[in-house]
Amino acid sequence: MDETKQTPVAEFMRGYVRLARLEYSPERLAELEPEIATLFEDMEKMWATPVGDAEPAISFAVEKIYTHE
Amino acid sequence: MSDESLCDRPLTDVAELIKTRKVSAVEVTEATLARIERLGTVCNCYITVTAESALEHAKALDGLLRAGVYMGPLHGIPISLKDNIATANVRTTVGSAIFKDWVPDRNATALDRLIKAGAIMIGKANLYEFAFGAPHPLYGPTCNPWNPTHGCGGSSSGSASAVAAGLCYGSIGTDTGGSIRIPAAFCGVVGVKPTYGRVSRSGVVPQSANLDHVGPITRSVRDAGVILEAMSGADRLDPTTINRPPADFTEHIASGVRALRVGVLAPQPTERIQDEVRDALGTAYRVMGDAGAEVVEVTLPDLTEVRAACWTIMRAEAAEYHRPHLRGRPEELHPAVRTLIEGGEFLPAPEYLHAQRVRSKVTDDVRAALAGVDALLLPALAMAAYPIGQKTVDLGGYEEDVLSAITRYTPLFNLTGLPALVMPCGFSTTGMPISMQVVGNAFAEAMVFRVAHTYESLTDWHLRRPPMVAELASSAEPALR
Repeated sequence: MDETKQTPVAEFMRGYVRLARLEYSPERLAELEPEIATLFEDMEKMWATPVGDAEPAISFAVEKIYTHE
Repeated sequence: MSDESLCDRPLTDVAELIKTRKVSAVEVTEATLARIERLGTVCNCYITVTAESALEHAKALDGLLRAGVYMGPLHGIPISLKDNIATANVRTTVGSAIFKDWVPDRNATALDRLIKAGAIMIGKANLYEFAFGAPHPLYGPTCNPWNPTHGCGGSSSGSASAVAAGLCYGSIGTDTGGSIRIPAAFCGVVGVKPTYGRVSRSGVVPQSANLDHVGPITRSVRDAGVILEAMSGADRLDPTTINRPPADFTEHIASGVRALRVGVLAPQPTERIQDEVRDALGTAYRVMGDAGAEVVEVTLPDLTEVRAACWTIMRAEAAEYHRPHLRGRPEELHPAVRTLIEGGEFLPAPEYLHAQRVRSKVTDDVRAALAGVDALLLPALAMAAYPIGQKTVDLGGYEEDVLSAITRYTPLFNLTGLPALVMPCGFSTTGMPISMQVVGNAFAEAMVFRVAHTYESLTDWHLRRPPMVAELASSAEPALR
């Protein structure tokens, strides 16, 4: 693959698998690229949802964790 | 000699027959097994049928009853479980090649509770691989009993198909984005995703721990209530379970809807739905109004926008759980399932955390929207079941991808954890079920069952049987005395 002609998605995927030491062949990355591109488009839409000061739903709720019986 | 007509009776009717010893648990189990023998292969509902152990258990339960010991409301009732729910000494494949030989050494908590209430496990139901995307070729797709060339959706496909075809009196499924409600709706049966944490997930192979729910699929609303009562409750093995006293979901089930405020989903700009589904829902809303409910429109957040938050959470969590499988045995996954899981590996942490903040915000918005109503009615699906293999569907002139179309109305209630039930409310021109969804406020399953039961008691959709079952009935032995 000519790395100078990579899309931003392909560039991200190759960099990420290298850093995270994931095992994906160049061929598999190319197969996945459209899927990942779609995922990022969907997430872009998600960022358009205003959340104000909402707490993440997985916050470390200490009382619940330490008093659950 | 078994009476196959027993297979189509409601669970609660048959439970009463067993309790009063008009019929034995063995007869009921034999009838169910005979029906499975005749229709199980056609529908491909079951991966494993536990005939021998079911009959042994039935004999033991009959013995207990003769000795004056009654286990509970499910005494002698054959139930199936989706094959991602652990069953001691019975293989649990999770619909995968990777787990095809897995034999757990203990039951899931939900199953233990059902057995304690007297239920008999009749088999493990077919499903999408890992409750995701598609059925693995090793097990094949499940067919819709209403038309075997049509699918059931998923992922609890075998569970819904088995219940619709009378191959069990109830089945336990799981729902992460709609996986109980979608197949139940396609098969014209009742499917319940309870409040998050109502039923223990201990012993259930996870898809996305934050979104996974366990719930019943049955042929009537009351049947679902009885099963849910038996399964519910706090569990030390699942710290997300609700720590509340034992619940009675059916005590006021027949109280009607007079003086209740029932919300109906206000149309959304991005909504796409088949005309006959919209019409069936409109008729159902009028039935509730005629029954005495005050029917009001309720506006919710855009369903397609919140779905992205649900998928982000689901895919990130599934990717984390499946990493060992992706490393070691990716070629054994169905290609579509592999792509779904691998996609989650590329989701950055801030995206996941933002999805969780969207979740909090949406939960507050939905809670506010439902504060003024006792329950909300909306479609279960945008369309009726379609032929197996079809990739797109026509929704009122718009061509939409089937995955997008079938997950329009369900994920919001996984995201918010609210109880949601689906039930039949009509049939399409092609003879396939159309379904409605009844949603309640948190912990308000009793109200959901009350509203749903009222609609069911005023209609007869739930009494209809798939043609393949009706054909059996026409050649069956005389009905039970």
